[in-house]
Amino acid sequence: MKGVLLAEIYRLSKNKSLGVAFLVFFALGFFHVVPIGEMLLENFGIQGSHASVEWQDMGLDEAFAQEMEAFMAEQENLRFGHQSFSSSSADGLMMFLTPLLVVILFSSEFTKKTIYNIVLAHDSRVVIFLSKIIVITFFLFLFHLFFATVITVIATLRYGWGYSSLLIPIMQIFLLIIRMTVYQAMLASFLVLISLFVKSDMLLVLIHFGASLMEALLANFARSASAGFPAGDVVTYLFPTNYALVIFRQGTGMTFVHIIGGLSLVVSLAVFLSTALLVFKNQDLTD
Amino acid sequence: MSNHSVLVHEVSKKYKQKQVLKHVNIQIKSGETMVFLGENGAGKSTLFKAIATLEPYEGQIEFGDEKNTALASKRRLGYVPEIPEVFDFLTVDEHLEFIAKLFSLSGYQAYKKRLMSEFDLLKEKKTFGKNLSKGMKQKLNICVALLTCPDIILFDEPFVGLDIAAVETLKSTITRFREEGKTVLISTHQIETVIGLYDKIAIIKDGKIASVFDGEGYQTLASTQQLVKSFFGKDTL
Repeated sequence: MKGVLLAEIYRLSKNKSLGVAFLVFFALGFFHVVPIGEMLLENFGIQGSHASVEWQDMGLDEAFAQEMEAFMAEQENLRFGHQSFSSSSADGLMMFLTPLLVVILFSSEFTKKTIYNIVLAHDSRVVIFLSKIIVITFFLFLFHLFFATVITVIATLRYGWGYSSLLIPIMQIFLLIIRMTVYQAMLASFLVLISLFVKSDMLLVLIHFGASLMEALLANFARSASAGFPAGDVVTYLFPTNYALVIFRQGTGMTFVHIIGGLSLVVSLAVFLSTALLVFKNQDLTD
Repeated sequence: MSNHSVLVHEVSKKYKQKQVLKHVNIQIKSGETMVFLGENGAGKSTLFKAIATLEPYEGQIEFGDEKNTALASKRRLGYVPEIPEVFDFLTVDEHLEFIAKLFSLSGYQAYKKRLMSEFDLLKEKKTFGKNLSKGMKQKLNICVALLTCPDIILFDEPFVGLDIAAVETLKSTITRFREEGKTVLISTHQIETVIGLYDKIAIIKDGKIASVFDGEGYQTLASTQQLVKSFFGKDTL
């Protein structure tokens, strides 16, 4: 496994598009803190007074309105170094990075038949598959960590740390990075599974954006359709778009929706990974 | 201890409805160079991919006493594919570094440089895979296969797309392997390029090994063409 891991990390480290991605992440991190941070301070500071009843008046159900109230109350603090990362749109950036990593490590390997190199070197396809997944997850973690560091450092320099403790927010940021990484790993495992069938880089990317759009629409529909039902939360937070809203919040305690969202995330990851592994293990690579 | 280097026993392969390999049986002794002659679609590449574990098949393939799928067997094998496969965004040098890491090689730098020099790739060492010509890609694939110092080497149509100088380099490399006692399997339809390079000739036709000949009697183009004509009704493939 060590050989595949080192070789794949080497290959990604030489990929210019990932170098560009680091620069983009840096630039967006900077712009998130400075101009957008000022906007947050001005706008959300005022709107932070929205009570849940006002959100309900705007058409949201009670549970979601309460979440929005809590969310808005947090906004005022988001400019500070200790919380600025949780207000960033790392998952939006990852929408582009995750498929890129899957294309490099899976999809293009089949279209260009470069997968032969690795299959010739190792006796276990399980090892090959898991090594590639580990490398994807490692790079997802690395990008989140980089983005979080850029934002946190710049925000701290500009607005200050904003919290009495140094260690607790750092741990919260780290845990948030882990949660975001697992979430993106789940999306990546879905794309890996698809890549084993479509064997076209372009089609894979199109499916990625198409599926994301469909999922967001379904998640929205589930949220409104299940409102008021006793099991509404269970249905609502089975959708990645919905549970991402809560599990991507820094420092919030464990709630029922966290548990549903977390379980849904882990089960989806396990199902996509195990199915993809099964397909890859028995796949005719010459197709 | 078996005296064969490669044993192919009752190997069959079906693509959808088409039977590409039909109960193929063949033994290649250690240190032997065997050339597989056959028309396009005869099953040469499929057989080589099966030997290299790149596709599933029915039957049994062994290297010495071990199955070809065992890690020890894989570390003995070098495979040069018919269609060059390179990473678009790795340079020539980075390709070889990638392979060295993949196989956890050590002390390979001098040999890497020698291979690049022999196959005229030194001046292209910083060129990306996507910018290489087909011939250059083929040369790179040969270097990739040889970097691990395999003792069983499969060349699937290795001369296609190579310039004259590269053909000569590859021929002398194969000759050197024979002298070093390595087992070499070459699939080709270009008879003239392999004359004098083999110990045995296997004729592959319709997914079967039609016959195997001792190469000693077929060391000239004329005699080999005569052999081919007797199987295929024409002296070129």
